[in-house]
Amino acid sequence: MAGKIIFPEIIDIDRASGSMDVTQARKLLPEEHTNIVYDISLILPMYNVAPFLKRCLDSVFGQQDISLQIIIINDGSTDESLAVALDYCNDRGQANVIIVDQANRGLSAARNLGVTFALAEYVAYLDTDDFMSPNAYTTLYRFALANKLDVVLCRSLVFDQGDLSFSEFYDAHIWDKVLRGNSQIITNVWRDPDILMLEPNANTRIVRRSLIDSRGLLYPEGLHFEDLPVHLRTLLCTENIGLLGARHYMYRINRPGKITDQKSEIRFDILHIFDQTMQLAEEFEVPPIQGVNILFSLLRITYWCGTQTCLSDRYRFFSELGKRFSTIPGEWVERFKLQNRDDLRQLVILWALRRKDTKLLFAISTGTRPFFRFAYYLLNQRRFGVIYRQGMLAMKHFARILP
Amino acid sequence: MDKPNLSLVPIERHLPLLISTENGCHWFSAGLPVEVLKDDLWRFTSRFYSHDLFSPAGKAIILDIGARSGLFALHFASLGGAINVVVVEQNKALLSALTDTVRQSGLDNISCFSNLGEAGGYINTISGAAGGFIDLVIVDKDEFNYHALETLAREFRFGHLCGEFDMSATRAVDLFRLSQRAAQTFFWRKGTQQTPMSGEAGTGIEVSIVVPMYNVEKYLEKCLKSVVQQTLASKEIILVDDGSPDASGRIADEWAARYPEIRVIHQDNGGCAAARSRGLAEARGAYVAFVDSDDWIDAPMFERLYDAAVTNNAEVAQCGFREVYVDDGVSIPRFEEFRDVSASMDGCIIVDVNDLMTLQPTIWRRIYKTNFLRHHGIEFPRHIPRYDDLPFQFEVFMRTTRIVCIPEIYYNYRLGRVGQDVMANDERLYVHFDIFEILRDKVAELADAAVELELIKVKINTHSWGFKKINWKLKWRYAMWASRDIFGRRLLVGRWTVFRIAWKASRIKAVLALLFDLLLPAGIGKFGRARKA
Repeated sequence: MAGKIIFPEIIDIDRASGSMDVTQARKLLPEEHTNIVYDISLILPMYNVAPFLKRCLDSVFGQQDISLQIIIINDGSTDESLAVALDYCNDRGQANVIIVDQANRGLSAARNLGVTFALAEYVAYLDTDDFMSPNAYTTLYRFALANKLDVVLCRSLVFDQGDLSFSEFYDAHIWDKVLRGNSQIITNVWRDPDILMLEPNANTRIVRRSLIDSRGLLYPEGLHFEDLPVHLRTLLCTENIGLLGARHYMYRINRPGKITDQKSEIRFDILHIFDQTMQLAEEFEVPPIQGVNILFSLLRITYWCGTQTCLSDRYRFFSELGKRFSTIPGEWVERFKLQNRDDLRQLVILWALRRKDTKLLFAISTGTRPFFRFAYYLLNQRRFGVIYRQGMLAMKHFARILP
Repeated sequence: MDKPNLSLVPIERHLPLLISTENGCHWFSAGLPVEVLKDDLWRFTSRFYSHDLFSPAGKAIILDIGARSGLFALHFASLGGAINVVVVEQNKALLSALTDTVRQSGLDNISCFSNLGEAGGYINTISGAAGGFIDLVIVDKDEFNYHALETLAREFRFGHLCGEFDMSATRAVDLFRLSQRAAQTFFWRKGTQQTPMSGEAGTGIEVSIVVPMYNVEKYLEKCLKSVVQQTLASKEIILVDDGSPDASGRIADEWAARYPEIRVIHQDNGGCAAARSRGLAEARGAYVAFVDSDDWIDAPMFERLYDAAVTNNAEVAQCGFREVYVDDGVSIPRFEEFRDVSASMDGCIIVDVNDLMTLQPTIWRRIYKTNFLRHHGIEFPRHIPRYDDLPFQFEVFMRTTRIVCIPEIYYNYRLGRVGQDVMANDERLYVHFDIFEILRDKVAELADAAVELELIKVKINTHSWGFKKINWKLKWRYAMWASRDIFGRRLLVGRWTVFRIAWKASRIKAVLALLFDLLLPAGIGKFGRARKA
């Protein structure tokens, strides 16, 4: 294992063995790095983000009144990301930064590797194409420290690379509902089951290190959409969660070459994520009042993945998904119907998934109008157990999609 | 009456106001009107100026012109680190409230001024080694002054320049150019308009004009003259000589020797698509345009198009055109009338792209953002010998999210010339089947029925035109292939929907085409029957 210690040099992970344990990792760290007392260990996985890296690092290095351990993990970038990061850090010459270089093994692996180097009480992740607002970590850390919290989440904004504007994230209404007008609250899944519906993005939070170790909050390697099960496990396994109403995390959209923009086989990973999530729900014996929110998150992300698969794979995707959705407990679904009474689109999608009606799902996701299928359902609504008025409205809704 | 918000109303006249933002609490002077504070708070939380693009990494100077309540100033000043906030407020009442607020806050890194000149001098003294760099400039609408900003830009560079301005105060495109010169990033709100004007630093060429040419010696002079006379200052002209055997290449070289903005590329004959692609690959401008070498354009065309595109953050801008029949001396103006439009103050019309998809291919009357074309990999298919503008136009409209139209007519399209592609009436028309096969794959990638519906409309229009055009010997085969193409090569849209659209175009042809598709064996047609999605 090639390991060189003093900062500007890169720590090079043995490409064959891949992962390493914590004691091994500590030995690699330079002494002047370990001597500092850190508040938060910030892990920055980096893969082909050279044009956006400076903005991200600016926002991280500009954080005031906090001692950050900055761990940059280069996940085998093929562009000049590593050089940009090295230049940036060398210019500053701070001892609290390390750069780790590994062969490309994916975002999850990079995050997990970062945790093994983490020395602080709290751990945070930040994708290097996104950025934080000034003093975000200071605010998060103070809130966590003052109230002895295990997890603190903050709100996010969407940053559009196209016209440089900021807008609200799609989960804004859930935040508004949970915060009830406060700027910050301390809660858990029993007081506010709605927090399970929040965006499962790993970057919006700081998490206590001991919680990661004791509850195994590491990311499943080799899978995409890895955030969801870890997010749910984090929320389910602790009683004190802080929610901070300030919009600190800026999520960049409309940039070329983002993983989530490509349509391909990786969408099928969400099926494994679905299984893991349901196992999790079993493990924690989740009651329907929480399960319904897990169902909401699952439905949103899986259906979105379905709309992103290519046409030749879509039937296969939806039939696989339908098999899984029909195993969801009936109480969850009943509750879901009550909670989302006004959102007809969600209701119909869930209903079609549970009936394994891949043709209807295909039609909804592409925006076509399968006339005879709608007519068939309209005639047999009572038999299928759809509430009559809702069913009518839903069908009308989808019938309007095309002229 | 609504219950007043207690945190915003002073209990006694002399008590200061308290307000809590995301990054802490601030006291505000009692002399400040509550409405101003509420408005500023909204601007702050909704990131009205995109101020979060700036991040104070240690040392920074921030200039807030028209600070009003001073909320932004207090926010930045209390971030910590070596930050200096310079505040300018011309309104006397607001300024006195502001100084009061600053004194109460106990922050010593905010300095208030009543005019920009003094503030500039102060920044010069404090910046010293920083070299005239202001990290963030926020300009309020009431204190926006183009000339003051221009003077400031002569002295300083800006990190992030943002604010709001009224379209009556200045021409938007002038401000765009100024911001591009002086700032790394900029973000302007335009009075009542929704769309911001934003961008990054750039001093490059504004529009690249690509002129593909092949055997056009008779028309080239007129075309080049009109291109060179464009009022847009920052342009480059790329002449692609597609191996013309006549004098076109030589004429182009002569013009290039006379005008430095002209570049000539000579290449072996590869068809119009190859020439345009080559020009697109060589383009260095922020926007790119294609002008056919037998047409000519009016002098303000690219200036007005560029103006419309950048001030509305558009990927595509288009104007009207004129069909000129030179043989008969007739010209017919052609432009679109749009319903449901949002006309802006500068006379630009932002339109729904779906309305444009079925337009006849007229790629030469638009400018396209070069990065947009490159990002989506939109090119001219090189193996398609002619009508390469049809797939290009459809793909652009399929991908674009923002297109702006101006109603003026600037492009003169020459018709009635023997040998022009439009006049072909033989096997060359079969190329449409190849074109639609390319587009079919692209539409499948997008998986959107509404887009496929537009493609089918284009197919119906094109094939009925081709059927009319093609000579009688080939008509029968063309009809069979076209029927199969329209009805048999569908992806998402149902046969019944296609039939309804075709019925609207021509009843008899719709019935016959449907019958052809149903009755003919699967192998008939250039690409056979559709494969299952």
